[in-house]
Amino acid sequence: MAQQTLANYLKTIRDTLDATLNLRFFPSELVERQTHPEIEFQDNAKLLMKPLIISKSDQEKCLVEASINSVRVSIAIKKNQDIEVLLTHMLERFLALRADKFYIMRKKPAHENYDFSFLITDEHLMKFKKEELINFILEFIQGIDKEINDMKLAIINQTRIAAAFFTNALANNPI
Amino acid sequence: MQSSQAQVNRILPGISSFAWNRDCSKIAICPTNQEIWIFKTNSTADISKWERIQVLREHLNPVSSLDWHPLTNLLLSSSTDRGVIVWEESKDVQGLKPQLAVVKETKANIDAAWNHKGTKFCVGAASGNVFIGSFSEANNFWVGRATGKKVLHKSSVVSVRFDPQSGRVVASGSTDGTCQITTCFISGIDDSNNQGPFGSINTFGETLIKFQAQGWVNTVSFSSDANIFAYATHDCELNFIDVSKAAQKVKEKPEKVLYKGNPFLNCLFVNETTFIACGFDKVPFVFKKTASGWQFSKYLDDGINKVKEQQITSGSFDNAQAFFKRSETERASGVKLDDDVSIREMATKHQNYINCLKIYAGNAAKPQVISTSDINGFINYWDLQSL
Repeated sequence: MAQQTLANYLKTIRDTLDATLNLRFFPSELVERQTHPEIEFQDNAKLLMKPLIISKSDQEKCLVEASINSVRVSIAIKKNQDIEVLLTHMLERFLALRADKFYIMRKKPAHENYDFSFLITDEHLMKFKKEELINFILEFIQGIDKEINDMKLAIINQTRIAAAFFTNALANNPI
Repeated sequence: MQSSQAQVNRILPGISSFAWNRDCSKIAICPTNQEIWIFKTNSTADISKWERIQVLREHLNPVSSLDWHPLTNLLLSSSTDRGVIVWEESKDVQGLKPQLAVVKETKANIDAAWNHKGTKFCVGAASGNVFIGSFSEANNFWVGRATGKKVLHKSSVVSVRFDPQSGRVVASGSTDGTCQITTCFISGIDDSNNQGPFGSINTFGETLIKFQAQGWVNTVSFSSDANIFAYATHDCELNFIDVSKAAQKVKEKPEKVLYKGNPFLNCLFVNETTFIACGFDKVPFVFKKTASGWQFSKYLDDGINKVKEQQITSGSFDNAQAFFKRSETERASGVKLDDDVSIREMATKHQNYINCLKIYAGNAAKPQVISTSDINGFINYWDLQSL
């Protein structure tokens, strides 16, 4: 059942992105001789679409904000325990440092409650295929959960071993 | 540069707009930047055999639209640097030479088009104005003036077209979600153009009819007899209107056609009962008028129904994804999307969205072969004889 909801969640994101990633080159209406991602500046309400939130649970959600020449996708992942909050924060930092390699990664999440943001402009659509971008974001959402789970298990494992060493030392037993 | 161009069957880095000259012996291409490249086609459609003969570097910002008129042989280019240039083929200098054109736009020009005789042009601008340009004999340059003191649209005008019979009205589609037909009669130029339903118009800057759409209007088009008008919006609707009585300000109800797919960016009437539109779906759609109204007929490219053999992944990001796939052993258990979740690429001729559509063979009244370009620099040709 849980798997099923993840698939539905991803499918909805896929269809939303498919409909919103129809971007074109668009010069600014307010500043002459300039082109900027309208969604980042938000200075012209006519060129923005209504933002959409796709949520799987209270914590897991995806915000898609579209405009005529750029789309911003923000992702929040579930954080039930303190250790998950810590891990997400570290991962966020790790990715922010490497954001240039991801091309569409935004160095800072666009909103406070979200962990990761992507910014896709019409120039990215020139470089990458639309399908490629969508699949990347879906893989990212699916992968990030797994990654944090794996790291959490690894940490628990390590602390267990460390605790064993520690108690062994206390008991003065040879290892 | 020339030799590297000749190797590939596409224009690098891409095409944002293009225009053919009268006999398709030359093509003007904007390679997504401020330059305009003129190619000699050597009467072949194969891009790898084309020869670049001139690079026009007058614009300062990316060129948004090109239109080469078949009768006057003048190339019109509009750019987001606020400028419009009319290029003429001169006798003393080889190639094209710019003529001065003055358009008092303050932001950017997005779309430009000639009228049927090549005597005046219209420019859609980011400020919401539509400019009508004509040649001023006294000053020896082209002057564009806005259709009125008041700005016509509340947002950018992304598509402008004259009516193909008289050129006395101009249709404009804008991102404010409206579409207008405005008069633009200029005495001295349009006096002899009195055919079609708008042939009796003699005012300037008067809005005849205005249509309200739910989303951005992406493209507008007249049929060759100027009786049918169509506009496509970003919420995937096509609207056909009978405008034969629009000159008397009689507003007919638009006939709405819904279709499955993504928005259109360009459209064209083949004849009064056949209509072609293309855009973000990578294939041209054909619409036909039947007894019950306009209906989707078929795709010009069958590839859209066929999934491409090679599955598309986020391949371009492989290096960046090293984070997820740290080792060979983990790669096996790495992230893989389910087949029904991931999006599949279709085997269409265009690999990216179609951004420009121009007639290749035939004329505006009877197009026989059309050509479409995508942002990756490919041009494809579609035969319309069988429609």
